[in-house]
Amino acid sequence: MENGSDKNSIAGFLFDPVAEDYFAEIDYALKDGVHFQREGKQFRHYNFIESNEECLRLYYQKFFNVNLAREGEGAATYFFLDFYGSDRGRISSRHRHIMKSEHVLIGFIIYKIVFIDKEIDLDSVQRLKEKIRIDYEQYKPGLYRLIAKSKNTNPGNVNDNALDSNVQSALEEFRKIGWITMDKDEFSLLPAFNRLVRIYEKHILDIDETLNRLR
Amino acid sequence: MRKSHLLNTEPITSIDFIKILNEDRTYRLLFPIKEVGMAILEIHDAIENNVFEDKKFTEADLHLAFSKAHGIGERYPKEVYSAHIMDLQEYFLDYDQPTQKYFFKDYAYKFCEHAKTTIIGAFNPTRIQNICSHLSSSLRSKDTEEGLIFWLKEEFVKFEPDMREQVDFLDRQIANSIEQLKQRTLISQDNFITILIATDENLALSQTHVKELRAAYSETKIIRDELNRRNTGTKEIGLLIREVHLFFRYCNDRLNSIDRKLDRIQPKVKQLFTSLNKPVFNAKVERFISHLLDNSVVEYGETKKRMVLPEGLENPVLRKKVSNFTIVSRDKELFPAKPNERKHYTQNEQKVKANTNKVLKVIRDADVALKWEDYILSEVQLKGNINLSEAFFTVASDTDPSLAVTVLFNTISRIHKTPSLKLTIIKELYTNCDYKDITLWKMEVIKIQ
Repeated sequence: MENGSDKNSIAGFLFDPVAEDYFAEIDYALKDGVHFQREGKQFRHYNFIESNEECLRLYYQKFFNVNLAREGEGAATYFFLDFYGSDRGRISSRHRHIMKSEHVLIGFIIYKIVFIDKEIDLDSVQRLKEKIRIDYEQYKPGLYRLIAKSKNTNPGNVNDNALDSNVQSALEEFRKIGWITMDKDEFSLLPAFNRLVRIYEKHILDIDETLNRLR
Repeated sequence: MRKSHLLNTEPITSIDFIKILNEDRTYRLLFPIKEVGMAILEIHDAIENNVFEDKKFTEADLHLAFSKAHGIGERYPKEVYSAHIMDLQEYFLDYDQPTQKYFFKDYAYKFCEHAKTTIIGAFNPTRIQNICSHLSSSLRSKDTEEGLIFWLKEEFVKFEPDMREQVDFLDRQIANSIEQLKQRTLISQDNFITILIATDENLALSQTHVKELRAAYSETKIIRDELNRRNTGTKEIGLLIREVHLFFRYCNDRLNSIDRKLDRIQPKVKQLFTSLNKPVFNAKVERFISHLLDNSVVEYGETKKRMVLPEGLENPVLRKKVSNFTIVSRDKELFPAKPNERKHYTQNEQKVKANTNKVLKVIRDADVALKWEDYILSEVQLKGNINLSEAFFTVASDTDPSLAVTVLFNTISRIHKTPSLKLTIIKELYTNCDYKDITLWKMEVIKIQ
């Protein structure tokens, strides 16, 4: 009996009237790393996940050994498959996609610009690139060394172009996984962008110890 | 917008306008230097506060305003002030000789009020609604083409800046709210909370303003419909109406853009509330970024260099590369479809020959018939008349009866079209002993002299 109810619970989402329309698309996207939130085109998908949250969680846990995670609060809630926190699940290494370190770094710089320096009206990709190149003098040597892979840590065309194209590719990556929306030059951070900080939260909280250790 | 308006209707005025402004003193007379402009604003402020009787002021009042504008304690020689006043008399000031007092010209009022409304802003959707209603009813009352042109050139253009100004005001309202947030000098947490609450409220207010303004602009739809109905097709009216449509679209696009901006900004303001109690955390994020920048390294891989995060930090596994579906299909290049055998059809030469002969006979018959017709008609021309019934049997005996019928009909048809010939039918049967089955009326063709 207990097994029977489990079965019903796991399969519950299949009986949702809109499952035929959305499930395949959502399943494919979740495995592709997409984060779903109450935003524009994702609205209906988000509602489907939210109303079948428990069934779907059991489904992904049992068959893929990954966690369907919910983060954020209220309107800023988002869902995603947590490959990171579930020991990679049953996903073989050749099927994993790891975010590039360059994109992690650029993600943190965007976080600083928008949420720490409060540039909340920044919505142009071009302006973002210019801001990183011009306004963040203190980060430039590190950015040129790590992003442009250049020994010359002074500003120059080659360094700036490399920086610009990495910012562009980072934004493309964030758009694919539902962290931002981007349409030509216009971009906007979504609630799921906070995931970046959540991933490294423990390391951020321990940063002073880490830096002391390195001295 | 306004410029293109001018370009479309009065291109020469537009070129002259720039040229005139570029001339020696005109620009400076219209846009005075800071000290003089400030003095004018000072006087305007005093007029608004009813300091001067009848809105008129003395030269001493002007001198005082100039000295205020130049800075405390600084006084310039009277000649300097007199020179300023002389310049201002061109566009700004008028002098009333009986009372020996100065008063503002219209340009001075416009100069000051425009600057004031631009800086302070005054959101007034009711005014926009009233303007739109006024324009709409005034447009409906213009029955003639001249009336419509007057409305397009004079009435609409007069209110255009007021409508545009409201959208500008909203845009500036949002920008100002955000600018306050960005002030890095506000270290105090309490201050920041107050400003954040005010920003949030201001943005909500801006959103309400956008809705109100959109509602106020709704009357423009009636104006647009009316203009479309009245677009009679003359080039001048068409161009002017196009300008009005472009202006409304411009207002609408800007309202949409402001709406989108608010949609993007508001969640971020809310997010700043949640990070309020995290100044320590934010400072740590900044140190974490420095840690990433200072302690990450560049490794040289086989083909390219890659950045590696400091020890202990793993890269996020965010995506599972979803397998591509395997589709079993036959490759058309490798396994091309077997072509269908091409069918060869052999021609039946006998049938081809028979059909060719048939066609040739029809052509030949038509040719023979034409020659007989020409012969019969030339006989009429020569002899003055001909017995057509007899001619029929002559043709029949020379060729065959069916061809003779064709010749007879065609000839009759040609006789009808020739006014100089007349066909007479006598109710008398005409036969021929060789063709016992055929009986004709006696037909005679006569040439009319």
